[in-house]
Amino acid sequence: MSNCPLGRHIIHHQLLIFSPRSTCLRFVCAFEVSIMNMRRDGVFPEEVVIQILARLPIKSLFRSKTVCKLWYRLPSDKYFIQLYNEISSENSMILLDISDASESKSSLICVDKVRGGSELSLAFLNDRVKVRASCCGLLCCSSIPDKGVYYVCNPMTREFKLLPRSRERPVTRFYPDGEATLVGLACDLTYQKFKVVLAGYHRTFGHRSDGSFICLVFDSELNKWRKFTSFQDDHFSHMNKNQVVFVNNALHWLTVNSAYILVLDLSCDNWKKMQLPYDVIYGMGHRIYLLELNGCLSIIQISESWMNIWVLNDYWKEEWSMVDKVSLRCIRGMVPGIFPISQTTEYILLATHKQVLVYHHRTRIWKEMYSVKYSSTLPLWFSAHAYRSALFTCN
Amino acid sequence: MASSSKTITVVSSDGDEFEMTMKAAEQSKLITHMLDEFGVSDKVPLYNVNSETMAKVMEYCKKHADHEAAKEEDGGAAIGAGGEEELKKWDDEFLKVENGLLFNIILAANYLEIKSLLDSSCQAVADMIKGKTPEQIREIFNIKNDFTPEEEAKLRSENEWAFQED
Repeated sequence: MSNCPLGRHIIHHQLLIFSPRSTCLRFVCAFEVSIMNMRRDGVFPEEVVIQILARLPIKSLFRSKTVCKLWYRLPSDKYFIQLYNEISSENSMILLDISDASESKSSLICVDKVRGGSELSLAFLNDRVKVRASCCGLLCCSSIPDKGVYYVCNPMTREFKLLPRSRERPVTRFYPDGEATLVGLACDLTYQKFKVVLAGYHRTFGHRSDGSFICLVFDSELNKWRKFTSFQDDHFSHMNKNQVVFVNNALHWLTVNSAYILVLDLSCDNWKKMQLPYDVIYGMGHRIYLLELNGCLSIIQISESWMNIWVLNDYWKEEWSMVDKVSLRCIRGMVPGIFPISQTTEYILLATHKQVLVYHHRTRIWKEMYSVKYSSTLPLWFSAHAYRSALFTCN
Repeated sequence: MASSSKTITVVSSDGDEFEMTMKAAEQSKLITHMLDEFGVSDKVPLYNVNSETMAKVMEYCKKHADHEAAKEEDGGAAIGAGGEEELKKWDDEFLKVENGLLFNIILAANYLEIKSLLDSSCQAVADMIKGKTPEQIREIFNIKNDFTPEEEAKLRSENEWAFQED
């Protein structure tokens, strides 16, 4: 509220009401009451317009830009953008890449807790791409035909940035197949800036890994890449690579033996390991997945009959606590093939081979939100990313 | 906090007085702050809210206060999963009023800082305008089109993709 001139105005009114009676006080009351009646004559207070438009899906928001001049400038207003993004953060979604190998364009399905799946096209990129990372409403995609070509885009607003080619050869010198092992997107919503991280083992001319771990970081503020090298030996499953989480100015990946989380601290370009407590990693038949919950790291453990949700409440003290223990009895048959993808404090979205399910914590209800009709070669969970809609300019 | 059997009186802009329990009053952050600062004995003036709207807001606060109280007994078992769904249905029905009153409810929820009511009422209006054309939206809100036809056409072509059907 503090950035909005109207907001300050309203707070001022509340103070005036408690001051000794004066003509000023009476003027204020009359003014406020007349706002309620004025509305009937067509003048709608900006304060209310902001609250309503902040709850529109982005496509509708852009369509409503032609209603009048006020509505046109709102989506570019800093206060409005902040409010919009706060509200949309409560609506965590899943993005599924269902592109056919034979198609020339990439198409995504966006699934949220209310509607089923809706199509989202990346055709505006004019390239066949694979989604590599998702953060704060932006996606980092790599070109399929052109190795080393990366985009950062906002699929809702259709803005995109083709990242400049790194002058360093290492973009195609990753081992073993020329592709970065780890791709991370680190977004700062407040300042509308981002970083892209490409990391992997380096190969020498002889096609053998020389053991060094190369990290390339693109900084949108400087519009430049920087590179640093380290030595490490970590391994990642497919889900580990897809489920990168950005919190506390650091990127996090689970490693394949799950004993620790690999952390890239972007404030000092430093790799670290975050050990996980015994309770979180060990247990009969537990699979674990790394997600985000309200700006904190969260680990979901899935066993035959239970899904445990852990949250790292204190990042610096590395204190984890279990926030919910969900019975999987209702979906018993699906358990071996179910993967948690995105969540809020209210619900969690999971993907199986052919479906997306939502579980609401308060009502304890499971619902199917989306399913594929045709038989696809790849399971939905394979290319599913946590996603949320946001007003974020990536140019 | 004071016991739930205590009541306070609020005064609308039309001068009408409304009684509400402390628990219901706690639904509004503004009223809670006012009571903290100035005590319970005075009548709370809410000059930004007229009586018609105040009555609706009172109804909302009472319903949600009762729901919370029921949840606190039995640690939530009394309400259960079904209770949450029921409350949501009640909220949806509650907001099925004519636009003028709905807009005033939003203004009141914003002023009184009743987050849940602000969320649901704004969402209701957002849902109302979601699929509409700019012209239809202008009619609902009684907004004057201050673009020239040329300006409007240019803007529309800028955001053409937003006008295409899903």
